Amino acid sequence: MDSDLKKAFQKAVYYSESRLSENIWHLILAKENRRNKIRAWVYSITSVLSFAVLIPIGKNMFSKFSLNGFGEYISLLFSDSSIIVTYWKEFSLSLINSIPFVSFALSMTFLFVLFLSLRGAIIQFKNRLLIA
Amino acid sequence: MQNDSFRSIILLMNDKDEELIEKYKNGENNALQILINRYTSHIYNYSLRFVGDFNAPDIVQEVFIKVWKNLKKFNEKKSSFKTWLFVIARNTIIDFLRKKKMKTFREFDNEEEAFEETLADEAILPSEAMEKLEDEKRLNELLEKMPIEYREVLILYYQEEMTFKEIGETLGKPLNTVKSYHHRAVLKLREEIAPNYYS
Repeated sequence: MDSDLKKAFQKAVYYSESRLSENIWHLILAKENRRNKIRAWVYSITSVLSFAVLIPIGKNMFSKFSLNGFGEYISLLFSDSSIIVTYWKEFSLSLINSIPFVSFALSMTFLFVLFLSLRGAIIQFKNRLLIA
Repeated sequence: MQNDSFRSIILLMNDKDEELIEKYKNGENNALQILINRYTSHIYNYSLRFVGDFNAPDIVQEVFIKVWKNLKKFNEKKSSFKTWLFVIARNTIIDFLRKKKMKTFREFDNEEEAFEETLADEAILPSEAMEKLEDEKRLNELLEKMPIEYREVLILYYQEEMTFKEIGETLGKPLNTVKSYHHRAVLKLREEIAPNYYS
C-alpha cells in the first residue's frame, strides 16, 4: 500500500509557476549586491578612519621611541656586544623601559584594523564585480 | 561570459546538495541558484498546504532568503540540507500563521502522543479506495481536512519521500510520535475514502 499511496501523493503535487525560482534568485542577487555595497562602504570608511588615526599615533610612538633612547640601545647591540654580554640584565631592563608600550599597542591595534578593513573592502568590491 | 556562466550551471546541476553547499561556501554563487531551482517546487507544494496558493510564493521567497542568509552556517553533520530546508520552511509557515492568526501555534506543536499498536492494520486498502485516491483533486481535498500534524507527516513521507527519522528532525518530534501520526493519518485517510468498507 505504501507504494500505491506514494504514487497517488506524487500525482497530487502542486507545482509553482515556472518563474518563481528565477524571481527568488534575482531578488537574492539584488539583496547580495546591496549588502556588498553597504559592507564595501563600511570597510572603506573604517580604512580611512583607521589610517587617519594611525598617522598621529604612529608619529607619537616613533617620537617616544627616540625620546626613550630605544635607537641607541639597538645600535649598542650591534656595535659593542661584549658590554651587553657583561651587563645583559641591566641592558635588557633598559631596553624594555625604552619601549612605549601604550602607544605601541595602540599603533598595532589600528594597523590591524586598517589591514582588516582594507581586506574586507577589497573582498566586497570583488564580490560586487562578480555579481555584476 | 554568459556562456561560461551557463556552462557552470549545467556542470553544477548533477552535484549533490552537500557538494553545492561546499561550492557556494567557496564562492561559487551559481550553486545557490541550483539549490533554489531544485527545491522551489518542493517548498511551494509544502507551503501551499498550510497557507494557500495566494501566500505560498511569499513563503517560498522568505524561506530561500533565510537559506541565503544562513547557508554559510549550515552544518551537514547535524542534518541533511533537505531536512534543514524544511525546518526553515516550517518555522516560516508557523510565523506567518501566527502573524495572520490563522492558526494557533499549539496546533502545530501538539503534545507528544504515544504510538498505539492496537490500531487496525494500515496496510489494507481496497482497490475501490485506491481508485479514489488516484484522483488528485480528491486527495488534496482530503488532505486539507486532515489535522495539521497528520497532513505534515503525509506530505513529508509520501511526497518528499523523507524517512521517519528525517520527519522527526523536521518537526522536532520523537520518532515514535512521527510513526504514530503517520499511522493515524493513514487510518484517517482510509476511513475518509472508504467509510463503508471499514464500518
